[in-house]
Order: sequence, then C-alpha cells, then structure tokens
Amino acid sequence: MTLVQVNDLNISLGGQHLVRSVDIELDKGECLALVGESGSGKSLTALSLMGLLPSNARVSQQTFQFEGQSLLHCSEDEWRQLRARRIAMIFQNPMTAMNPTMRIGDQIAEVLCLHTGLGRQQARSQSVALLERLGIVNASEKARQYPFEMSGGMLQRAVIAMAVACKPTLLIADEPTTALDATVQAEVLLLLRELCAEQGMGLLLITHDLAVVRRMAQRVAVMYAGQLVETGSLAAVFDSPGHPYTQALKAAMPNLSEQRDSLVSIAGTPPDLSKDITGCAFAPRCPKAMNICMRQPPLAFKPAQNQLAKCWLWAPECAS
Amino acid sequence: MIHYVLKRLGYGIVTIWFIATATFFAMHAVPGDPFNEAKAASPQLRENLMARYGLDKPVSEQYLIYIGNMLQGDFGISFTQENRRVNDIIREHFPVSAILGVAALLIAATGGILGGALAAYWQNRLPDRAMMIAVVFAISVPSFVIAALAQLAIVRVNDWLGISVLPVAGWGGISHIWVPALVLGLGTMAYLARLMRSSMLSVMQADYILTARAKGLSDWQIFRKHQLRNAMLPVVTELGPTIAAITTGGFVVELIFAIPGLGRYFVQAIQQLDYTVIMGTTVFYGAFLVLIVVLVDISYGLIDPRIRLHGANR
Amino acid sequence: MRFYPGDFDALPAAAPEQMEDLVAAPPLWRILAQDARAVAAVVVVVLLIATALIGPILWPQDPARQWLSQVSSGPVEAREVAVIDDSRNWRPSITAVDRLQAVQATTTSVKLVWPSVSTALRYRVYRDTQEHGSGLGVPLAETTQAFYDDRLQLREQNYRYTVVPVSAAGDLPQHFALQVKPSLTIGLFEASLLGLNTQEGRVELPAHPLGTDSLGRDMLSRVIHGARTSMLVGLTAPILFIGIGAFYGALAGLLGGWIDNTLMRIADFVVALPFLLFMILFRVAMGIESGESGLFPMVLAMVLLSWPGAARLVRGQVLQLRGSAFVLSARMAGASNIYLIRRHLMPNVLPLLLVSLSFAIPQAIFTEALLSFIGMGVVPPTPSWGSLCNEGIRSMLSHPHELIVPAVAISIAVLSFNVLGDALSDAMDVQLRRGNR
Repeated sequence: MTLVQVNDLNISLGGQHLVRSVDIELDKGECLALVGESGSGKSLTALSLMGLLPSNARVSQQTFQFEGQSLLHCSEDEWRQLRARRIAMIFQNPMTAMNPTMRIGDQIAEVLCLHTGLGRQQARSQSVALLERLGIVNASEKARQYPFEMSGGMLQRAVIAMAVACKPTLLIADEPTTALDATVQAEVLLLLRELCAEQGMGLLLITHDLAVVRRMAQRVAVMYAGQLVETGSLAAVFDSPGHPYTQALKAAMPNLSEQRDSLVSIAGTPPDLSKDITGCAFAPRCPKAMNICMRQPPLAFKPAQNQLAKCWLWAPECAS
Repeated sequence: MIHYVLKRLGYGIVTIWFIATATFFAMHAVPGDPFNEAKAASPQLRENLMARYGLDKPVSEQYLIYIGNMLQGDFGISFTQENRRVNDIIREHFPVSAILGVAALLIAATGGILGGALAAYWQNRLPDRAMMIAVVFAISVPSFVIAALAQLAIVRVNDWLGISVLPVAGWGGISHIWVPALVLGLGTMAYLARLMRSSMLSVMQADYILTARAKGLSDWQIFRKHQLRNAMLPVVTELGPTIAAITTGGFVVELIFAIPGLGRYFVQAIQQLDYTVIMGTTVFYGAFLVLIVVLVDISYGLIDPRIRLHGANR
Repeated sequence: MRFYPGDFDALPAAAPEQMEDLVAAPPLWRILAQDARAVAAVVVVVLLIATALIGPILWPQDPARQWLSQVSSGPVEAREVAVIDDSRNWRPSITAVDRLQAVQATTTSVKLVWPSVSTALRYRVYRDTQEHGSGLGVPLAETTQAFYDDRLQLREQNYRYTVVPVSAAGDLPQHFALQVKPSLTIGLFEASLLGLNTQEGRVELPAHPLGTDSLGRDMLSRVIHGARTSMLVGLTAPILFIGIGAFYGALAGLLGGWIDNTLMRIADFVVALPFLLFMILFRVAMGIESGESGLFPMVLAMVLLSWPGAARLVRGQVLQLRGSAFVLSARMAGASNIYLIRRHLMPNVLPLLLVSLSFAIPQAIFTEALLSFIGMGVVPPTPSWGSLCNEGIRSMLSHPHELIVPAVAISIAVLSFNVLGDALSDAMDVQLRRGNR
C-alpha cells in the first residue's frame, strides 16, 4: 500500500533550481534510500515532505499524496498536526539537533505533550520508557542530562526516540549516521531497522553512503544535480547499476574485500543549477556520453525488472 | 558548580583588593599629599585624620592601616564636612542610586531583550529596520543630551497641558523615577537590543530549531521555549559591563535631574577635593561593580548547564 | 522524439576540466567602497577631521570673543549696525505730551519718556516680553522723573513697556504702555572693546550661522574649536592605547609561558577597574583642581585604562597563528620571527585593530564629552563639545540651540565612526567568507 507519493517535485531557492521533477513513492513499512552526493537536492526533497522548506523556497508538485490524503494545499496549521505525529524526521548531527540548554527527557516529553495530550509527568515517564526501549541503560538518569553530557551515539538514540515518540507512519532519516563513529553507526542502523519493522513505519533514508544503503534499503533512488537518475530495487541497482552515475558511485565506494591501489573518484564537478540544463546533467562527466546526451534529456528506460534508469544507453535505438 | 563559584569569588576578592590598592596609591600620588599637608578643613579634623590614618607613619604602615579599615568596612570621615562619616554618606545616598539603577536596568534589559528578539523575528522587515535605526541613534547620542532633552520635553509638555504631568527634577515619588531611569537605561537598552538581535539570528539558524519545527511546535512555542533562552545566553554575560555602564551613567543623570544619589555626591566631592569621600566611594563602587560581575557570572552558570555542571575555563 | 544519425555514437573523451583558480579575496577597501553607508561614514569622518584641522582658517572668528549685543541669538547674517554712544546719565531734551514715547529704541538702550502726572510721587517701569501677556512683566525700576533709560539685556524682539505712576495712596489707575522692537546696535564702549573701527558711526557685525551662546560668543567657531579638542582626544587616545595594547599583547603571545600568564593577569585587573571612576581618580591624583583643564591627564588616563582590549585581541591572534599549520611549515622552511610577524601576523591583526580603533574613537569622544560635561575634563573657556553642552544646558529652557548644536556635533561624530566600524567588520566578514571559499 502506498504511503507517500510525490510526482514532479520542483524546488527553487535563491535563483537555483535545486530539485528538478523528482518522483518519490514509498510503501508502508518499506525503506527507500535516497542516494546522492551533497548538493544533489536530497535533503531539500526530504524537507519538502515535512513542509519544512525555508520560507524563500519556491516549490511545486503535481501530486502529493500521504496515506491517501492530498497535502498539496496543506496549511501551516495542518502541517503542524502532521509533523512528529505522522511524519517524523531525524537529522544528521545529533549534537546540534538537540537544544543545548534543555534536558534530553524534556525535549522528548515536549513532543508527547504536544501531540498525545499527556500530562507533563506522564510524558516524562513515557520518554524514559522510550529511551529504555531504544537501548539506553540508566534511562531515567540520562533523561535528566543535557545534550553536551552524552556521546554522539547516545544522543542519536535520543533523537530517534524523539522522532518515533508519537509512532509516525513515515520516518525521514537525513544522514542519520554520518556524524557518528563507525561502530555506533551499525547499532543505530540496526535500531532503525527494528523500529520500522516493529511499528510498520515507512523509512526514507537519505545518505551518500552506499554501505548504509545496502544494509537498510529495499529500494534505492539515486539523485544527481536535483534529478532522479535511477530507481529500483536494492538488488537491481546494486548488482547491475543502469546509470553511469550509479556505476561511478559504486566504483568509488571503498571495498575492503577488493585490493585496490587507489581510491576512485568521479572526474569533474556537478553542473551550475542556476542555469537550465540541456540534455543529460551528467553527460559532461560521463565516460559513456554520446552525442544525444548533450542535446536531449534522457527518458526513463527499464534496464531490468524493478529498475528505471534515465539514460540513453538503455534506449532500444542504442545498439550495443 | 561550587568550584566555579569559589573561583569567581576568589577572583572578585583579589580584584577588589587591587582596586583598593590602586586607589590608595593614586591618592598618595596627589602632588602636595593632601594627607600630609594641612589641607583638611580644621585642626580638629586634621588631628582626627592623623589618628585614624597614622599619617605620621611611613607609607607602608599607612597602607596596612588603610586596608585594615577597609576590611572592617570603615571608609573614614569626610574631609570637608566635619564629623560626617563616609559610611553614613554612602548609606544615605547609595540606596537612591541603587533604586534608579535597578529601575534603569529593568527597563533596559526587558526592552533590549524583547526589542532585539522581535527585531530578529521580523528580520529585514519594517519593524526591524525602524528598531535598528533607533538603536544606532540611541547609541550615538550622549546620555546627558538625552537627559537634557527629556527634561526640556517634560517642561514643554507640562507647560502645554497647564498641569505638572511629570516632575522635571528631584526625587521622592514613583513619578520621579520613570524619566531618569528610562534616560539612564536607553543606551544600554539599545546595546542589548542589538546584541540580542544578532544572537537571536544565529540561534534561528541552529539545527535544533529545525528539529523543533519538525516536532510540530508553532513559531511562538519555538520562540518561547527554544530560541529565547539560548539567544539570551550571550546577552547575560554582557549584563555585568552593562551594570557598570548604568552605574557610572547614573552620575550624569543624577546631576541633571537633581537626584540625591551617590553619583551626584561623588561628583561634588571631586569638585571640592574631598579626598576621603573620593577614596571611599571609589572603593565602594569598585567593590560593588566587581561583585555584580561575579554575580552575573554565577547566574550565567545557572542558565547555561554546560557551565553549571562542569565549570568553565573562561 | 526524433533521433539523428550519430546520436548514439560516443563523444570524444572530455578534456580534463581546468581547476578554477581560487578567487583571491578582494582587498578591504574595495568591499568598503561598494557599501554606501561606509562611503558616507568615511566622507563625514574626513569632513570632521578637516574641520578640526582647517576649520579655524575657513571661519576665523575668535571663539572667545563676546558679542554682548547679540547674546543667545539665533542664526544671524552679517550686517552693518550703528554705533551708539552709550555713556550714562541721559537726560531727555524733549518731554512727552500725552503718552509713553521711545526717544531711542536700540539693543544698546531703550530711552523712554512719558508725561508727568501731578499726583504721582514716583513711577514704576515694567517690561514684558510676551506681547499679550496678562501681567505687566518684570519691574525694571522706580524713578521720580518722567523718563527712563533701559539697558537691561535688550534683544531684537518685541517688548511691552508699562509705566505705572505711584502716588502716596498707592498705584494710580492711569497707565502708560508702549510696544517697541529695539533695532540692533552696538554700544561705543563694546565696539571699542572689540577693537572695531567706529569712525563712521557704523560697524559691520559678522554673521553667526549657528547663533551665539549665552555670553555672546559665536557658536560656529566654538563648535569648530570644540572639534579640535574632541578629535584630538578622540583620535590620539585610541591610537595610543590600541598601539600599546597591540604591542603588549604581541609580546605576551610571542614570549608565552609564565610571562604571558603574568602579563595577561595584569591586563585582567586593569579591565576590572571601574573606568569612569578611575578616569576621575587619575585627574585628582595628578593634582588637577576643579576648574583646571586636564586634556593631557585625560588622554593619559584613557590610555592607562583602555589598552587591555587590544592586548587580548592581538595575543589571541598570535596564539592562534603560532599553533597554525602554515606558520609551522614556514618556520620549518627557515622563516625568521620578524618575517613571520610581518608576513603572517600583521595582515591578520591589522584589520582587527582597525575595527577596534573605529569603535574606540567614538567611545573616547563620548568619554571626553561626558567628563567635560561634568566638569572633570576640559573646562571653560577652552571649548570642547562636552563643555559646550555643559554651558548650553544652563540656558536650555530659553535657548535650546546652545545645547543642541554641540550635541548634534557629538552625535554625528559618534554615529559616523560607529557606522564605519560596523561597515568595516561586515566587510571583514565578507572577506573572510570569500577567502575561505
């Protein structure tokens, strides 16, 4: 069953067309990974799903369905009712995502008070229970601590607790492990997966780390320069990436099992998003670019079952 | 926290000692040492001073006597008014200055913090622009000019209405406090408003504000529960110097509005070269200001948990 | 969609893109030049300094010269006025018939004659400045004769004179009244005192574009000379204490260790001294009695009390640079201390010091004005903006311009330096951001 469906999402900010005709579709209980390098527009896409874009952003979309309800003309009041209650978000750096002068427990209790109508006392004990559930030992003591007293991993658990406190149906995690130590990353990811399974939450995972994608996602969407270049099931995208950009990303991923002499990087820089792009945005950096790539924006083709790639290489006309 | 408080207090005490010592030697550097020449008003006073300060003894011993007196809270007797103890003068006039100062500080702090916060809230819109222009003017016009103009305005308004709406000068009732306190607090208010605004703007960029929005809090709730407290932190550290500015600014306001506070008395004492009063008041004011700074530091620690729990290396 | 032949042929391998050269941050002055308020502030500052330097040449009126005939006057143009012989003991050559008459109505004297009343023992003369006042005004004199010579602070404005005859029984109901507006003249005595040529019976009085003060001195020239004092204190003291502080801080930062510790502890204590109290204390300590001008002690006290700010700033920069990688590598490449200071420390510290300077100057101007205002700085007759305000506040109720003119001068100076400081630090932010890109 479809949880979220967004078609033709466009976002401009400060004269730059940062998200260009993006489609997002996510089923209940499913994890979709949105992959791309920084500046590719994935965080803006996520923020638009919560109505949290900066006020000077210009946004448009064809459809915006959430649990069968259209959010196209949602007012700020309606958005506030949705946030945290039905759509929640986890941010990249737990150290800065928490209010430095407010106790952890109070920050979690604040959400509960706001959306569940619990009293202050009840909300407090519930937030302790939540922290416990998220694997924080000594939760009642930790709840009285301030963010600066806790480690990054612990804090991210608290941030997650805050996000899932009202049992939302969609959880957006924006680079949830980037700011954490490698060992803690694994624990946090595991925790997220458990929670999603437990509560049947849909998870939109935003990351640039393919290793994270492989552990978490059922489906993958790859963004480049504000556009979706490839979507598909994890297996399809990973095993046989259809778009040269995805291929390059995969090649750039350090792999311990393979012995390599050097790290691979993608030559060139992403295009200037304040200008129109004719043809394929990746063409100037693409090792397999063809004449048409400079002239015509690629259509979506189906290299395999459960896989769409916007690349002329998969056009039937393209022999070989 | 206790460690932090003790450290601050210790620092404060050493500073007060430093102020007292600097004052002592500054006074002894006066050409034609007033303590050694017959500058005192009468032979009787001179004898009194001799006995009290050990003026016939070497400077080092005088210094010890002086510090000893200070430790007992004894500032000596006035040079020009026989038998009037400096302590009595302070006790009589300081409360007036304190009331005026506290009123000014309250006006400045509330006005400045609220004004700055609201200006940030309406960033780059009309209220913000208007407020920031007002701030620049309030900072650029000297307090004595504002005081004089305020007085002129009161006179004109009273004339125009034919009744005395507000008293032009003097001290006594609540109505005497408002205008001087506002005048005294105006510069500080402008300064705090400016500080609060920029602090507020940087807080508004913070990640935890986005988190708060993602929680579904309304703008007003975010403003009240998340922005205000965090934005106030850097403003609170500035309150110490601010109180110093208000205290010394009080000299002029008291002078212009004919308020019988310690500041006005101090200025008079200097004009009459009443050395003991000058010394006593300087040390008293110095100690008072240092104490205030220490108190502000400690209260800053109370607001900021990072300092309350770990102490600070500031 | 249409495809063309060759559409699906591979492109030739792209030439590797040239790395864009790092754009060097533009120099500070160029950023400032684009900022309208900075340009305006610089223009005003330059004008102020020019006023202080060459103002007295452009407007060569003596600020101490008293035009007693034009006390507390508003702006006036230059004009020719008659010189009046103002020797005393005037006796009228005519007698009034039926009413109060003015034989002469000038600002030097108003000479009144009225008919004598047989029952009157004496006459009381009143003068009122309000045209339709209810009362008679101020009683000027009582005289037994039927004439009076009024010389009491006459100005070019309407006066209503009333003469009340007084008999043994009291005031008589019969009053004589007259409305006159004295014309501007100058007394022979005053004219000779001012050294004016009185040969032709007329002299040229100079213009006072900003009016005169309560002693008849030209406000414009007083403000110009006041600018000299204010700018002298406002510029020298900050330049001195920032220079000294910078040197002190650099020394502490470069030497490091316990020397640094001790030096900065001393700075901490100096910061803790209550500024204004100690400014005053220094003045007293230097043996300056009230009523004496203490320009030098004021600058000295400001320097003694204000240096720690710059010292802390520079020391912080030095420490930061000492720990930075590029200084380390420069050192390893054999760079000398002097080279490091000139090449790395100065370019980083100078703009910061410039910002502190532009904020310290208005502060110093303020302090000078405040101290002079309470009589603890420059005292009359030396004009400074603060002492001008001090004088102006006394006549504020009747002639507000005497306060407002110097107050506006202070405000403009402080405002322009503050704006300049703001613009400077903003420009530095811009430079920093562009430089780091």
